[in-house]
Amino acid sequence: MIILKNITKHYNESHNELTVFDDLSLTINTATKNIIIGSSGSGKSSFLNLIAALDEPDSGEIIIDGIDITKLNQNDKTIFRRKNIGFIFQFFNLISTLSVRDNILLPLELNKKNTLDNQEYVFDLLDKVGLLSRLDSMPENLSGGEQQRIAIVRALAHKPTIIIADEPTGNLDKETAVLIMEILEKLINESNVTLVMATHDEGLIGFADNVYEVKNRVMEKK
Amino acid sequence: MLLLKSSFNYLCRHYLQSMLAILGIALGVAVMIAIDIAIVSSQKSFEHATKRVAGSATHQIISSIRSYIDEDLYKQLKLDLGLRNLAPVIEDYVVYEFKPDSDYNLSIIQSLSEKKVFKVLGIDPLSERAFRDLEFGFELESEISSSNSIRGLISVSTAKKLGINSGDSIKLRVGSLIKELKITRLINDESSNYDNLILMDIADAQDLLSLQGNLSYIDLKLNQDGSFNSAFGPITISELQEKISSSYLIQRSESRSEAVEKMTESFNLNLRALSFLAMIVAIFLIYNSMSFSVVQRRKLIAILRALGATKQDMIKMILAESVIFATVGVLVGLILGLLLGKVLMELVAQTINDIYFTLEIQEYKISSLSLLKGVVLGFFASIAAAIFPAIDASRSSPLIAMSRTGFETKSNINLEKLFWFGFFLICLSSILLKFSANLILSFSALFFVLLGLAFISPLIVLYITKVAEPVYRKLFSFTGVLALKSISSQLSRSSIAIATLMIAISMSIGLNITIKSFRETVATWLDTTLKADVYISSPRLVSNKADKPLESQFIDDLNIEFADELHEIMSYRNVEANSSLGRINLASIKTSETVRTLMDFKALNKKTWMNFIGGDNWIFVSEPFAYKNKLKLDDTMFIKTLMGDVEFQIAGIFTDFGTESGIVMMPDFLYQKYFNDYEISSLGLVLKNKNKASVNEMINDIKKRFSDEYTLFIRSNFDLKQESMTVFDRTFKLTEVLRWIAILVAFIAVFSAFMSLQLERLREFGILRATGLSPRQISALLFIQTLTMGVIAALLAIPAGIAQAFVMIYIINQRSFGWSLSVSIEPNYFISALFYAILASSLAVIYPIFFANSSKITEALRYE
Repeated sequence: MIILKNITKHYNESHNELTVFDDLSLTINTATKNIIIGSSGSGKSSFLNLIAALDEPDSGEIIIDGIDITKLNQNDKTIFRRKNIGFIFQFFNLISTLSVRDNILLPLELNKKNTLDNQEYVFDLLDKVGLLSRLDSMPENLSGGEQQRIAIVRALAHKPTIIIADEPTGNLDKETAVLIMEILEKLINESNVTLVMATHDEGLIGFADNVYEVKNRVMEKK
Repeated sequence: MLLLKSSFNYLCRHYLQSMLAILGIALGVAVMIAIDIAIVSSQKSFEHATKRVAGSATHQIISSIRSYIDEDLYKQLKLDLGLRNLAPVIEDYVVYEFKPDSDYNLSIIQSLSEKKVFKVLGIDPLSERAFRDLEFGFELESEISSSNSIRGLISVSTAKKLGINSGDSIKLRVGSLIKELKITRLINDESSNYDNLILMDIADAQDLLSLQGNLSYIDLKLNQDGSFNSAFGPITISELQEKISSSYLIQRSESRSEAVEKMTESFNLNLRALSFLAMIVAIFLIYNSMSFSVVQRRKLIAILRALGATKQDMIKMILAESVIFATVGVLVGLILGLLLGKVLMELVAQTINDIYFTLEIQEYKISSLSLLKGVVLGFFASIAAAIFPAIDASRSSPLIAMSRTGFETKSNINLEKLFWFGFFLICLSSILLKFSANLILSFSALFFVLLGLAFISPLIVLYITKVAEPVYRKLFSFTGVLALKSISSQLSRSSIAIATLMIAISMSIGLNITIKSFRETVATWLDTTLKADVYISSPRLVSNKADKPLESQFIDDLNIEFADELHEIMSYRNVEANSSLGRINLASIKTSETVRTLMDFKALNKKTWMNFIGGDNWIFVSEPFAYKNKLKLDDTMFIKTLMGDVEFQIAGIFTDFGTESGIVMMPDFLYQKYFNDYEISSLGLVLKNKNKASVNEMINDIKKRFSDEYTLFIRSNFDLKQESMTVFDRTFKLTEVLRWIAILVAFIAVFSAFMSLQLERLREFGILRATGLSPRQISALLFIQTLTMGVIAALLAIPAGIAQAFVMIYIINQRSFGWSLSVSIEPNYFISALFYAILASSLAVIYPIFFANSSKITEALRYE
């Protein structure tokens, strides 16, 4: 469960102070699919950054599965992220210097869980997204849709409790985007994880359990 | 493991950048190893040469006032004191000429390759058996015992090298005479103990070297209880010293090699420091490559951080990359070092032969310590250079991974902090230079100055680009401004490239000013000192020393037969003597008004000249001698003479670049009085008619008259000056080689930095081309940017180079050798510096221009 209590977040741009969230409180239940919508610059990514322990609020608490991540130091935040969070980025962000195999095994390696059992689980996921044959390919030889499917497998590889997806279909054509969302939905359902996804695409609303809109420094459930 | 794999793949993908970094490390390591091998080889050769001659002798009796001891001393020790285990030895150098007919008078400098220097070891086989194994499979005594001819033995390997057979007679040059030696037998010597050595009976050696009645030294063997064996019971060193005259000295056999080590200490330290310079530039190269790779991978690092890689993981990853670089670089460096070592060994040998002592480096001594030093320094330098980039990588925010608007490309290093850190380093160096007399600390301070300059340069570059903007707008319009903006907006990378080039060029300027100032000072000194028209000495083994005296008959004949042409004959005697300050070079001169004008005094007692020639115990000492022994005007020192230890007062300190260890000068009548030595080492003839034709005619006449009887080294004033400058230039050849290697490393660094900088921007060029910039405009943009960087580097290098030169001339040279030089700065140093900078940057930009214009716009836009 993700609980945000009285979160305030400001950014300083030149000499102006930009308030993104003002006293935001919110609870996201475990194993739910959540979509954050809002216009550009509304604060969707800032919200994702906060719950992914990539950024810090100016005040308030963010409690994930009982741990207040705002109280953690940088190193503990990294370890928290490493164990509990899987990322899916708009621009895929596969490690260009590693093969598909190494990319999807990387979270296991970082968590020191690169065992045969876990590898089997990851290769099974890869099979489910239909790319087992591309195990030894390099990212540059894959299409955008294929790269994002690999990114989904990488996000789920270490069995995180939360998946954070930032515009995962934003860089794909409509047909591929649908395919990606189908795969993501299937795997999320099987894995029993919490999904928090930011998107511009209101067509994806039907896919979610909960939809939140960020507008005027507040986040409301729709 | 996967992080490491990712690093490895990254390095392989950017193979050109990686290869250049590796080459930089390799060259740095190679120079360090090569210098070390050259120094160790020369030291070991001397030690080996000393040891094989010393055999198992523990002590030697030498003369404290002359080069040779009286043969009677041996008889006294043997008969009167009943000493056992002692052996008389004659040891000296002779020259075997490959071209025995070559005209020494015409050849100003003899190439080492045209002559072979042999060490003559004259022994008494009976006594000598107590000190060395003389079992050669034949009866030694019968092979070398005196007969009508002078006989000697050489080793099989030496004979083979020189094409000499058993039974051959060879001609040897001994001082000004040519003598014949019959090789009666070859020694089968697997241990190479007798290579380049002529083993002779002591009587034959005395004949060969014209040393009848003299010995070089007497070998002694000390018992374990610290006493010598004698027929009258054990005798200690101090007891023995008391029983023999004070003009003899008992010294440990090793003290000769120790003295030599001390003599070349400063020379070796300077060489090592120069090799370290190459390593410093290599460190910049590695730093450059590593920080580039970090900035280039900012997004990739951010993704890894977002996925859970810790800061420590990032530091480890970057350091691991530096270890990969170091491993390959060190391996290549070891191979290059071994090859380069041979070349440098020759140059070191040449320099030692030119200015210190006769030495033939026989063994190419690759000590594991030399290799270890290279390996450790290679790894240390690589890791040290990677520390800042590694910290920079660890600071990469994982937020960059989430960024949709491109990614941060700037370094996280604060320019102002960097400037102040550099400023602090320069201040610290200044304090070190001012208050510490230690030579190693002085060199460290010089390196800190270089580092400090590198750190302050980015901020200066930023200000220069700001100031230059209106000028560029006018000169090159939009393209110029864009080029300038490219420098300032990518300061984290462009400034590293500029700093690297600046360091290399400033080093080149600094060394250039130092060498040229040195050269100018020496040339001026030669003009002041060399006032005679013709100089005559015996051919010499070491360039600045007249080894053997001239034959007295020759001097008498010259005086009589050429009296009409001569205005004055100046005579010199150079010997080694012992003093309260250790072994010294002692020169005696015939005093005259001409001689007075030759001396350029740094300090002078008011009544000096009168004192000097007036019969009191006054001496002059050279500047290095005064510096090294911390002597000033009116101080006194004791010199061992035939009349015991005599106190001399210093009347003047004079400029002298003849010897590094310095020289003590006394008037001939004092020298003759205290040493009873009337020999002459060299002559300076002042002619009545000084025009060139008369001088040449005089030289030809002397040659014609005396060449049948003596081999003389006759040179005109002009030739001697030219010879001195040739020796000077040869001495600095090593420095030149090292300077060029350092420049080569720097060139690679700059090439790598400039190229990476531009190749990284291919996507940007794609966008610019897509928006309408023509290939020519892209080329102009790249060219203006890179050339501007080169020119900025050269401009910064000028004050930096002058500062380095001042440190080297006024501090390091003073502390190393004690010479004071006048600084000579010529505009062409800066013009050539600018030329190198422009050349380096122009060459570095060719490939990026070609690449930027030949790749398709769409490919460039996809470039990652």
